[in-house]
Amino acid sequence: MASTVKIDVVTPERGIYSGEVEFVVIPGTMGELGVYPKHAPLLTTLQTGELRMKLPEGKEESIFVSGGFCEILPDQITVLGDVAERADEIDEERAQAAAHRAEELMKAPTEKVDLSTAEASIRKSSIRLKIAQKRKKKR
Amino acid sequence: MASGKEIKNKIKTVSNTKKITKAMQMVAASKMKKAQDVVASARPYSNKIRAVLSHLAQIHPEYKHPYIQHREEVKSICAIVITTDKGLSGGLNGNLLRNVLKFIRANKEKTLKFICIGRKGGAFLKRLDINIIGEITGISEHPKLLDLVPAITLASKEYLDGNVDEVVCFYNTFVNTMSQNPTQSTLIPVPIPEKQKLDKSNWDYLYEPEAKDVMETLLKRYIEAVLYELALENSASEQSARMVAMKAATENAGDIIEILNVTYNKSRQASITQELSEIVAGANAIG
Repeated sequence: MASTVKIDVVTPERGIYSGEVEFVVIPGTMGELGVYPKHAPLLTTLQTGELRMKLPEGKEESIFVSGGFCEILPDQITVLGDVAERADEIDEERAQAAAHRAEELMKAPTEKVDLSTAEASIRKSSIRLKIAQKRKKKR
Repeated sequence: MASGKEIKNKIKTVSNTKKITKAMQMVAASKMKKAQDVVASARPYSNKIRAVLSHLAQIHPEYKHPYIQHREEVKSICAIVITTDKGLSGGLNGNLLRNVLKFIRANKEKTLKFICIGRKGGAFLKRLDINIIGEITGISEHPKLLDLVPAITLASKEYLDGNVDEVVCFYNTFVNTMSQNPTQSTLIPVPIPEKQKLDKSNWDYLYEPEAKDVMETLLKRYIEAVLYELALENSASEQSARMVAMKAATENAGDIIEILNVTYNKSRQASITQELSEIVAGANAIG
């Protein structure tokens, strides 16, 4: 059996996921990090992205994370996200609507919302949609 | 003795009040359950972030971010006071604000700045001659992290600019349903959590991006998480204090109704006796 590492994904509001994984891809600010068990201790801030986990039974699971940071120890990975959602929690319609709204704003930026916020919002919703759709395909 | 009708009316009024307090008690009981669940679901995050911080403190005893650096002389303090928005919660806010008053008296010669979270504390502190730099209301029943961020941003800016040397927080700890403790705790400088044993003592993290940036995010998140936890704790205290207060009120109303009933019966009997004796006397006079 391949070795595994314990992972905990939490947000200030609640715990999202806790379990053993064989391999995980973490969206760090400096780029994606692929982590196997017994990784060197590492501390990184996170950007908006997809957290992909390979579970021991060969299954894969994705979690949407945005902001926060992650501590990697040889036997324990802790993801402290500002926002995190499991694939089955993502509201596709809402993400779609948010993307539309942001696109409208991109076309006609107002004073309150600048381009970078709109861009960030589009990024967030597109990643949400990607994760949600991937999950549908699998089923 | 009051007449029968008056007492009847009074009984009716008190029973109506009793119905209301009973309803409030049940509402508070269910809200308390919810508030406790929220506290429980926020716990994993604060436990984890505490663990990370204690790891960091162990491997980096020499690295001092302003947030963890104790200043030698504390000349000015910023106090965040968390109270409820609504009343009818027994002595909950009163006990807390008494502590705040003590704190004000004890730190007379220092500059004090206040941030109020919750309407009750704001109303009370505004009557005193003190400096309130911020107020957040309307969140005490369901505190959200996002609602608290302005308070943290303000307090940490004051701290980093050197305007205040310490940030403390007043809130009620939820001990159990029957008791809540008014508590004061320090937010900044961040008290380093107790050390957990690590296998190796001579190692360091890899940092992405820079150690300083990561440290900064970490400490900021930590302060946010702590304040969020305290606000949740206070909201659980609020509901349980209200439940207990309303339970007492319901019981008192029951006692009053009982006494009034006895009085009512006595007065009814007295009037019957009086009528009877009048009839007998009348009959005798004719006879």
